[in-house]
Amino acid sequence: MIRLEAVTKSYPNQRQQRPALSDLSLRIDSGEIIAVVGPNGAGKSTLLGLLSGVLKPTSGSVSGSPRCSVVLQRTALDHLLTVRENAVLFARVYGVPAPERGKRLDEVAKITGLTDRLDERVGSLSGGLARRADLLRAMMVGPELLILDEPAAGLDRESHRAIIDTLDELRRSMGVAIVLSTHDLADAARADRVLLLREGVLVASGAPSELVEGLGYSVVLEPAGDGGEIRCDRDEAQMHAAELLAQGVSYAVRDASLEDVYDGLMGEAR
Amino acid sequence: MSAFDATLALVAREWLRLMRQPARVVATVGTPIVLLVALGSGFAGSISGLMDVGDSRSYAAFLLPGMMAMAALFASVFGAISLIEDREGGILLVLLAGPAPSGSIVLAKVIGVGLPAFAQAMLLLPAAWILGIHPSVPQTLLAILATLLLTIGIVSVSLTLAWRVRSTQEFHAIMNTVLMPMWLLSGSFYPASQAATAMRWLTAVNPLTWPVESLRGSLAGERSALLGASAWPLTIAFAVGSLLMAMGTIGLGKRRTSG
Repeated sequence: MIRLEAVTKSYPNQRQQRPALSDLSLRIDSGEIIAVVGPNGAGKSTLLGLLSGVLKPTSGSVSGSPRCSVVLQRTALDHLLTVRENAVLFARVYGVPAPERGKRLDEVAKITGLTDRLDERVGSLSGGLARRADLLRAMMVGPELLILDEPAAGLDRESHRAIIDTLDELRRSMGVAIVLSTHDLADAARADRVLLLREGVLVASGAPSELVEGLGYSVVLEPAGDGGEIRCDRDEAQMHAAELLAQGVSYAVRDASLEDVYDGLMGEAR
Repeated sequence: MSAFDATLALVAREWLRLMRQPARVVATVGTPIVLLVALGSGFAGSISGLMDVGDSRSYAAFLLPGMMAMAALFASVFGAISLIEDREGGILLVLLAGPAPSGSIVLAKVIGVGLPAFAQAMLLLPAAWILGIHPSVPQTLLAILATLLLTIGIVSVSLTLAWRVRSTQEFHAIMNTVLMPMWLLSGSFYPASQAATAMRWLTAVNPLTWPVESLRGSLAGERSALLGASAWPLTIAFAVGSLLMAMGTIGLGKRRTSG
């Protein structure tokens, strides 16, 4: 669908010496959900800008031009207009034929749970509903690639879950490929593939389970008190647990997760 | 067809926004009317004969074109602020990321902001009859054309300035230091042809003076005392030049919005 080959992006007047994104190669296929994670300044927004075509690479190439739609951290809707008016406005600007608009609006409103709120002004909606309205706006143009910059940032738990569930449903029912940047590793763990960026460099990529398997351990024991961790395979975990109990130390046990992958990779930079 | 429909959709959006903010219309038209009444009647006894309408309301008649310019200016400022909000809110980025040519998006913004601004300036035109000017049909048509060109120019300048600033606060500062002085020095309040030499020159080189003089000349059925036959060519140059400047500045906006 879209392929980036050895893409580097630098900005003029950039304070730091390094490019915002260095030598990145990537391929995105239809119906995939890809999560882009990394600390602030890692190059996530630059990558999204390159995928959407808003930014041009300094070197390297971007091939394929899927119809794409962007959802920003801010709700890119006119708050004086209703959800329906916003949806139709953007559909018209993106050249969606009139007969398709109504049908698509009904379909996407159902998925986003906004069927009963279409005639409410965006300014009167809660943050979570406004974010869903923004998703609806983005889907009105019938994108093949949906690009989201921290779509659930700042939302309460319920709204957050609703947004992520909606993305799953959009992919399932409409086959759209989704690329989202996020700081929430639980969201990233639900993606098909995770890209970890650090200082403009892609340091790891793969399915969440592959990345976790690559850690070399599957269980983490956290003894109370000193805050240290014991990382081990499941087989060894019982032995370590018995040792801790023999020493009178209580502990918590959990499965290794994407968080450990992230901490491991980002810790190398600290 | 798609670019045309995109432009129409964006123009319709500006109208909807205006209709849902009636205070904007009141502020835009109300202030010039108050000034027209207060200054026109306040100075009626001390300043007369500036516009030959044969009675003591002549200063108010003289003020009318400047007040129409003020209405267009205020409406443009409100519209330009919406451009800043669109940019900060990400709407502009989403629009520019779409398939519509960026030029059509800028043009839509100029038309979308300009049409209400033009309409609000035109709301003051009937005052010409109340004030005793009684322009003929051709004079009225020319006055409408001058108002249209004035609006295109001032909306384009406002949008260009709005695009250059980072916040609405900064734009208010620009308005106070650039747009308001432009209006004050446009000969709206005083007959520039009779002013001191330096003021006459300052007024003559101010682009906002050109359409105001064309408008006043059209209503009175006379050639501009300050600019003569140059008033209309200069007015057209102001409108076209400003429009091209806005399209050039904002049309290249993809880089700035994202960078």
